[in-house]
Amino acid sequence: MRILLSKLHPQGNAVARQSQTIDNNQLSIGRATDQQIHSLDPAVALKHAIITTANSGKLQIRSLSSAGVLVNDQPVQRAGLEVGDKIEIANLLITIEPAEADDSANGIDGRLAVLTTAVEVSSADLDDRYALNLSRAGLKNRRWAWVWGLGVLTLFLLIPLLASLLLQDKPELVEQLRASPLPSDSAWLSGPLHSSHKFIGDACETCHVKPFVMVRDQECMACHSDMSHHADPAEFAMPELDSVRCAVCHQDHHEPTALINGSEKLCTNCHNGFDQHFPESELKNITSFSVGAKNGHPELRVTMLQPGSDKPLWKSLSDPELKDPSGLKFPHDKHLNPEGVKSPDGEQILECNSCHVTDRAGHSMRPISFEQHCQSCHSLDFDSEQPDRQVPHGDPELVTSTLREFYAARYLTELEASMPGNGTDRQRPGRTERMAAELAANQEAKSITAELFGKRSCAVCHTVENTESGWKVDPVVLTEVWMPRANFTHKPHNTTACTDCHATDNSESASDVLMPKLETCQTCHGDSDSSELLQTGCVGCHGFHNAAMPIMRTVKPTVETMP
Amino acid sequence: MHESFLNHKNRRWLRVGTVLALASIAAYAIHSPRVPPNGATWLGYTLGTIGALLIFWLMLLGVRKRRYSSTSGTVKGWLSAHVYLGLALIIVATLHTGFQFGWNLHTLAYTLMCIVIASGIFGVLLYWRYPSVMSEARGNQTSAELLKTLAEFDNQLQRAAEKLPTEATAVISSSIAGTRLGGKPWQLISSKDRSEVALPIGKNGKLKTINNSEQQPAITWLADAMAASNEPTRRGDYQAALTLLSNRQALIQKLRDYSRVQAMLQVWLALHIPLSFGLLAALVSHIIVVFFYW
Repeated sequence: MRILLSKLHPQGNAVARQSQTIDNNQLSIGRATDQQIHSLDPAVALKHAIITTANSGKLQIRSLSSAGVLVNDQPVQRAGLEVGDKIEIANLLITIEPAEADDSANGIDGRLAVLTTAVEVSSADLDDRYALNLSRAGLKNRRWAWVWGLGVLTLFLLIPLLASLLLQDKPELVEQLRASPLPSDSAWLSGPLHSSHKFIGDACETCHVKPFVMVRDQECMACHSDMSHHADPAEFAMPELDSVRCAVCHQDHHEPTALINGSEKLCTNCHNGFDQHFPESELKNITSFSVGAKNGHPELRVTMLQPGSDKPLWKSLSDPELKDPSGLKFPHDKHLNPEGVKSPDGEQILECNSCHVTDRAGHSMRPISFEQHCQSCHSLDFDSEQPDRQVPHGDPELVTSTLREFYAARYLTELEASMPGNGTDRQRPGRTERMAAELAANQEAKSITAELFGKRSCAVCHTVENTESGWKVDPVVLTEVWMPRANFTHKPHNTTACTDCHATDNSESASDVLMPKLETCQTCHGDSDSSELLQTGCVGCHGFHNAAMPIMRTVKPTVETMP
Repeated sequence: MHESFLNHKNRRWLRVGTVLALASIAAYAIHSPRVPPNGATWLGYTLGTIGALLIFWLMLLGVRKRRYSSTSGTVKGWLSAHVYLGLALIIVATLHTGFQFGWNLHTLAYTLMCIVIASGIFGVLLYWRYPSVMSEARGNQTSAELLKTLAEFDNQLQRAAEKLPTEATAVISSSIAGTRLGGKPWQLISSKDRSEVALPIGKNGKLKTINNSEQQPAITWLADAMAASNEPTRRGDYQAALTLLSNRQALIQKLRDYSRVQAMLQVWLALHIPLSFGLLAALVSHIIVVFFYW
């Protein structure tokens, strides 16, 4: 399709004309930038109409806008066009002009004249066209302020608060609400519960029973009913401990968790200046576990059993008089000789755990017994002809009588065997012969007894004495729990060598106390805020609640807790 | 000499804010509670109370601004204090949290506060960078004046285009119609010129719509058309249209820059004001809730 398009431009009474041929299969009319007949009138659609040639070769117009076009003042959507027809679209007036003689030769399908009435735009039009102000984009601050304010208040305060107050008697409804995506007091949870409290879940009211009242002891004691006191209240008046709520020390919902308060301040608040609180107490003032601290931790003290006494001996590890009064003779160095010790099966290399084995909890060592730990090497045999026979351990009188009976039996049997005759017709020994045999047996028993007690067996480990009434062995007691007040356990220390803490290498005597001193602990352990050492704090070794003490709290049932 | 609110009274409020922030940091450093630092130690309650009072007071700026007859200090003084105490609030409130955060109402209040303060900092930077535009932008006056001139240019350009050949008229008409300004918030804030124009540069002079950034393609096309013309009158007509188109482009750029700053002002206020009410609600809820489940 080839159209000669003329633009009319009135100049006074005359009309100027600019013409141009357009080759295209259609002629577009509209407000979009790419339209061939372009209008700036907002009443014109972006793509308003197109002019094409029909099969007959005549021009036709088709409206692309529902507003349609006016052809000879008639509103139409589609129309065939004849010469002289006038098409009106808002500010555009398009006239179909008659063909000229050489049009067919030039392939011109039609002539159109366009008269454009200028569209005066105002700043208001432009303001509409260009949305330059964001308030047009729905940014109404006041409205959004209400939305945010009321939204947050409703979701995070009103709904959970009303649910908590109104549904007090309907726990199953509260539970449903908390499980639902609806807002609930779960959003109030200020931090995670300690793992031991996790079972409470989001049932806040388990501990927070009364609104605007701090968590009360009775809620703690619903589970922890038997918490023991720190010290005997009959002996030590501790009003500050008696009046304080459990939750002052045991605070949940913190990160890192602080349910068991590891800070030594909790202890040193009282124990620094302890002599002023309780001048009659033996406990020393303490401010810190660190080396060199003023009023630091005193040297560790050990408790040792004393033979023949019910009262254990308490001694500081730095006491120059420190001796283990066990009564035993035992050189650790010889037994732990890295080249081995003599045994019936040849040289045997002993380790610490050949004798010392922890109990299952890892707290203390299982008891040492002669039969289990010593006898395989320190045999109590006494007769070379019968090396399997051994005297019993632990009772000197029984040892003496056993030997006497053994040798009496042997001598009598030998005497009988030496009598003339054979089998049943053997002669019985006479009284004199019997007395001689008994005497000889007693002599031998006595000499063996003296050898066992005094030299070969007992005296190796025990202090023995030959008295008028017979051989005496000094009693022996082995201390099993050296530091009963400390929550020490071997378990986490298992990865280090025993000798790192227990100096066995040069210990020649059982009276050496091989318990580690404070400085040994301090090489690894420090205060709860230590930056270089394992943060341990007082409660690492000492519990606050002392199981030996009476119950700390007895809360009277109140109206709320009564069924 | 105009004095910025940032320098009001020798930066008195900057000093007050700094002292408050440093005192809070010092107290936090010295304070070693028996439990991990949190809002419920004595220092936690102290910082929380200061923070809450600060937030209530900071929000009163909106009230003070509307009370023209108020004698409680100048608005500039209030704004200066608002900025510097608002900045100190970050320190006070962060230390109040003891750095314990979670998915809960309490951290929601803290987060809203941070967004409100961050948007406030953005606002201060805007005022600092475009002080004159910002003060004019509030009146919305310049925008209307510029639009009036633009309408004038459009009308003049249309009349000038009528004198030109059909193709040139279409180019000018198309470049006016294809001029893009404003729009969605991000379009306002982005400085990209999305204008379009249809130029007869396709095969057989077909129209091709291309980006008309800074109206340059249209201006270049018209300049080429003028060069190709050998009638002096026609060249004069082209020259007139070109001058108008260039002047119009300068105006459009001004309008674009201006509305960009204005949009940023609106965006930060649209965050700052509504979210501060969200913060107020979250703060009140936080205070009630921590004592409800004490």
